[in-house]
Amino acid sequence: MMSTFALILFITSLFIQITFIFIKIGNIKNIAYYFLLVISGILLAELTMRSIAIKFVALTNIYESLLFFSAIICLLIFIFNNKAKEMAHPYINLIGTVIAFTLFALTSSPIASDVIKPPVPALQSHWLILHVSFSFIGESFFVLGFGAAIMYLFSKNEERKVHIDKLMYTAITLGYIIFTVGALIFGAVWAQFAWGRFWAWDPKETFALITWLIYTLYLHFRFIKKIDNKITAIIVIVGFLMTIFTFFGVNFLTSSVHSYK
Amino acid sequence: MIKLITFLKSMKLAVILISYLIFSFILASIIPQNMPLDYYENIYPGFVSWIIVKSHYNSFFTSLLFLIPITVFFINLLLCTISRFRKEIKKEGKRNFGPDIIHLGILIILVGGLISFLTRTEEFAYLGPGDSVDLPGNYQLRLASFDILKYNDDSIKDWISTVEILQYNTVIYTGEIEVNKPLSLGVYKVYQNSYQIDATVYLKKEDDKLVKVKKGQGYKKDGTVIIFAGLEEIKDGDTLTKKVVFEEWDNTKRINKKILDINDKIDKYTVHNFSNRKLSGLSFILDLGIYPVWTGLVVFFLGLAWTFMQKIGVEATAKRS
Repeated sequence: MMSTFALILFITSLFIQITFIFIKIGNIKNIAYYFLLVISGILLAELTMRSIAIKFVALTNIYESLLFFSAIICLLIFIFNNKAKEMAHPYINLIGTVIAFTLFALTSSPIASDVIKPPVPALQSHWLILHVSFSFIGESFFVLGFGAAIMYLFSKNEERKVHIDKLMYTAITLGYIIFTVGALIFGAVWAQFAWGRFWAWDPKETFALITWLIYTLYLHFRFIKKIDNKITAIIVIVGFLMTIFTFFGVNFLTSSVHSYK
Repeated sequence: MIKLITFLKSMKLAVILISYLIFSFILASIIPQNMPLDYYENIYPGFVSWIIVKSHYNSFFTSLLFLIPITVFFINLLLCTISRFRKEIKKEGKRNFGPDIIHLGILIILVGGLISFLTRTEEFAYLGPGDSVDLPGNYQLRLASFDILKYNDDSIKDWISTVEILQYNTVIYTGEIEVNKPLSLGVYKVYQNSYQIDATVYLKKEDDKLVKVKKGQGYKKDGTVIIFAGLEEIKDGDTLTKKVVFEEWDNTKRINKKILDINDKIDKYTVHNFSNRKLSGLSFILDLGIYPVWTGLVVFFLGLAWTFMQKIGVEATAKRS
């Protein structure tokens, strides 16, 4: 029931946002962003109910991860549009909404079982909450950065490009810090408590590090004066694609101690 | 010399090294690591498997392809951090040490990683209740009890090993080990790694001698192999009774399965008795690198927090102005 309501809101929000791009009717697009806030609330409420059922924070499988990731992206778009209006951009918000919707849609696919199961012993740790939540919050900022990078490459207006570049840099910087803390620091600490080693070059760990290195490259490229911002925008796109591969590809294509389906 | 140092601390070198690490890590994650050599010959074309093995890409993280670039990266980061820190100190106005603290944290972590690589030892043992292992310094670890907790749907909830530490046969400490809750014994840590059910059946021969057969063991018979497959709980009315399971295999195919009770016959043997012990899988780890890595992680975290607060402050100031 809740999922159906979220689906309707998603489709409506997308419809409004797309319509607004062609027909600018007042502030109708803001309704779309309020819908995203409601969607975020619904998805987080579902996670809360699942958490109560298993007596543990429900971030222990792909289904719950997809719900959380989608919820945070929606929340972030709403916050950016309300609190940082000067940086928000309807096309970037639309790209973010499409990604959030795609992640939500995947919860109905065979890759994500919605069976409510209590966590296996390895996942029974408070570090799970910190590691997974911070990682996805950081990656949600990467989604905005990805949207900004796409817009940067397609935009021909130089003034708008400066504005989009600033949004891209802000989103990536904030996301980078949160992702580093969640994915690398909290992940390493948890691994030490669970498996007796901070790092083992497990495929999931290595691809998370690769993702981090790509965004590190982006941040350091910005210090090289002669670098064309198009190159940094492409790096941001590659970084996001690697983020998605780290989430999905590693789970299904490699053998990893992180494969919790 | 100055040109060399300038190059070694340059942003361009950092970018080159990071780019190299990205591409090489991708390859190293796709190519299975530390497998037997014939594994690569079987799954890759001849020339590709030759390149992988000759270049040591099959054990990338201990090869020169990794160790040399990471050493150069360490030097680059160290020189860059020192140079940047000196510039920030001399700066008038607001100084930003966040990135320097981040870089310092990474350097400490890399040092910790090297110490870990050189000093880490890991031993593993399956222990049943009453079993013990020797530890350095005249200590012993004995498993007092091992509990497997289950959820209502019979899936595993937790494994709890209650252990006793003995010195000169005297118990000096009793503690519990669970997944995510290791036991610290000075520089050693003991981790709950896994568990196993150790099924053993005792078969009586025709001369009344007993033969102990562990799960997976068996004997040959007329071109086939009879293997003790373990114990199964079979419903007998309202009760569950443990039965002994033997399987007959013809090369790679199972052709027969027998479920037996005590005193049942199988070929020239009689099932005399069986035991079913729960074994706790414990890892014993010594790693001196964890101390600098912990330090590095804390410093790294502080650097990120500083940078984050500074970033928020800059954004707020820009908004106000």
